Amino acid sequence: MEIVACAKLVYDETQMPAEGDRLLVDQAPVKISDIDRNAIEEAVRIKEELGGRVTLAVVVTGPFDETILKEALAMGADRALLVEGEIVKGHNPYRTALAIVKALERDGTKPDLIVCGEGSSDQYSCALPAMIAEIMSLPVATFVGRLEVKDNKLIVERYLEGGSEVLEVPLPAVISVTSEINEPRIPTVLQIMKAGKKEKNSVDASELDLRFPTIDLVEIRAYVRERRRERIEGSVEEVVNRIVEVLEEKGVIR
Amino acid sequence: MRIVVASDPSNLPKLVGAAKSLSPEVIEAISTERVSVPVDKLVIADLRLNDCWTDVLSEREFDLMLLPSTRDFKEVGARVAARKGISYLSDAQELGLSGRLAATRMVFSGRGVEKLETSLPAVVTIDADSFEPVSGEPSSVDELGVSCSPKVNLIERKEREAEVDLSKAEIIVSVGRGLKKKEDLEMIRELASLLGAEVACTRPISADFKWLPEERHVGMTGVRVKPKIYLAIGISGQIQHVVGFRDAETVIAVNTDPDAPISEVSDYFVVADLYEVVPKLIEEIRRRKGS
Ligand SMILES: Cc1cc2nc3c(=O)[nH]c(=O)nc-3n(C[C@H](O)[C@H](O)[C@H](O)COP(=O)(O)OP(=O)(O)OC[C@H]3O[C@@H](n4cnc5c(N)ncnc54)[C@H](O)[C@@H]3O)c2cc1C
Ligand SMILES: Nc1ncnc2c1ncn2[C@@H]1O[C@H](COP(=O)(O)O)[C@@H](O)[C@H]1O
Repeated sequence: MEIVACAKLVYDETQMPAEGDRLLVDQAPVKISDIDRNAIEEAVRIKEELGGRVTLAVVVTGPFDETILKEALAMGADRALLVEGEIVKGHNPYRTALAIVKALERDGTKPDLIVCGEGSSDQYSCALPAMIAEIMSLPVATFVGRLEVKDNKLIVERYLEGGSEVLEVPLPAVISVTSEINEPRIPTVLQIMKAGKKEKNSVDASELDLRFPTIDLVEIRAYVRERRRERIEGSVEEVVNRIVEVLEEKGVIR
Repeated sequence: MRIVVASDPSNLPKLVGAAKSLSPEVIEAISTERVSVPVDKLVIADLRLNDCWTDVLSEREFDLMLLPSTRDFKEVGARVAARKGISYLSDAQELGLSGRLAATRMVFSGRGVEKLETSLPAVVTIDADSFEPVSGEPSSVDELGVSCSPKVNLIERKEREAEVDLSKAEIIVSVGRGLKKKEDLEMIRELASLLGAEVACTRPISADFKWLPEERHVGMTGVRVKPKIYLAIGISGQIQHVVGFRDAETVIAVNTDPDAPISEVSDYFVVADLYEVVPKLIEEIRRRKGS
């Protein structure tokens, strides 16, 4: 099986400082977008079961950090396909999808399966897998929480707001996975070091002839909501009394 | 300006509300059932699979297409835009139109808010709860026969009736992984019932442990709530959860970890063990109610 796992490197929003409503985006460390770890894990598991190879596809739309890329490779991918260049910077899922499709063509990779995360941790637009599928005219299943490979077909369960949907999807296909699908492995330091030796193909986006409508980022700010932040400590009796007092003040208990 | 709105029946009135706010010449709505919405044309089509929705919507003519930000429509919207090679924006919470289309949306799991601009034609999924629903009668109604050859095969659909709509709850008692086992939900339910509250949870409690149904999970991928009181018990306060309750009037959190991130986003932060506080709180509220 020729498997492609798509992963995005993003600024870690859980460690992103703000000054007032100014969001200091680029002061946050870089990480693999959360659910892309599940995508890589699933790709590697399928390879381990059926043989083949896993190409990690990364378009550098935001920050880049070599160690984080190595960490992603160390989860069991065989090689990396990297698209870089000024024109792919910023959020524009259609452009990113085109970049991946064209870079795969140029790389000579004809995937049987492309695995993405349900949504990226910075944008969560959940758009890329659907767009890749359209551009390549492949079947797609998004928000897959359970998956089985059977005679050149996938049986997937899509996890939706009001229930779920079980689909049979012929390969080649594109899927996006949710965090429930698996428990991503954590590579060892040694594995991460060794991953530096894996094959890496870097493509310059300017050579891919990308045509797309532009999306302009006009403004970005931190969401601020001031809270009272009163700390309640002490014996159980003391804290319970204070909670009850607050609930009474708010008219919840009378 | 021609807006096409497509949605499941329940979100349609809010989507039409969003469309109306942009004062287009024509609004066409597409749904699976007849809904009372004030549009120029309501098209009813028996669409089930995303493949078929994508085929049908790609055939419509529009300057702007609005869809709800549900999991299904986020896929469909992205596909329609890619098929036509036009702009796509997702999860819009505010829309503006002055030649170009402007939308504000959450980024970094809600840590930030961004404003994006793009050209028309465009497909946009909107956060339906950010818009007011409208009602009225469509000027005309049409039924569309659907012939579509999906690329995937539907094997089974499991639908689950929602037991509650938390977005309307006045008081919420919410639990996270501080709770050790499913049976301990009993005391949480008891506390909630004494307070006339609904029980809610973090995503791990519903998605991973399946202790509570999905519609009780609050946050980015769950419900957004705006109660008078949000009592967060054994919840760390990761941003993806916090975005779900940050419009609450008052937030009270109980956590053993004095440095839990939820301390930053609560009005009252109780540093204590829930297994000591909850039973005592139940006892104390009972006592006061009794007297
Ligand atoms: C793309 C994406 C979307 C997500 N969407 C959502 C979402 O919509 N909603 C959501 O909730 N999560 C969501 N998550 C998950 C989120 O990141 C957190 O993992 C989750 O909210 C943590 O849940 P928790 O607070 O219950 O668990 P934990 O983070 O494990 O916190 C448990 C807390 O309980 C405290 N505790 C332990 N024992 C006790 C005790 N005896 N008494 C009191 N306190 C105790 C601990 O100190 C700790 O702070 C999402 C994640 C991703 C990547
Ligand atoms: N720049 C990127 N490079 C590689 N994969 C990406 C990139 N952006 C998004 N993806 C993949 O597409 C999924 C959905 O992303 P998004 O459409 O941004 O929510 C992610 O979980 C990744 O698997």
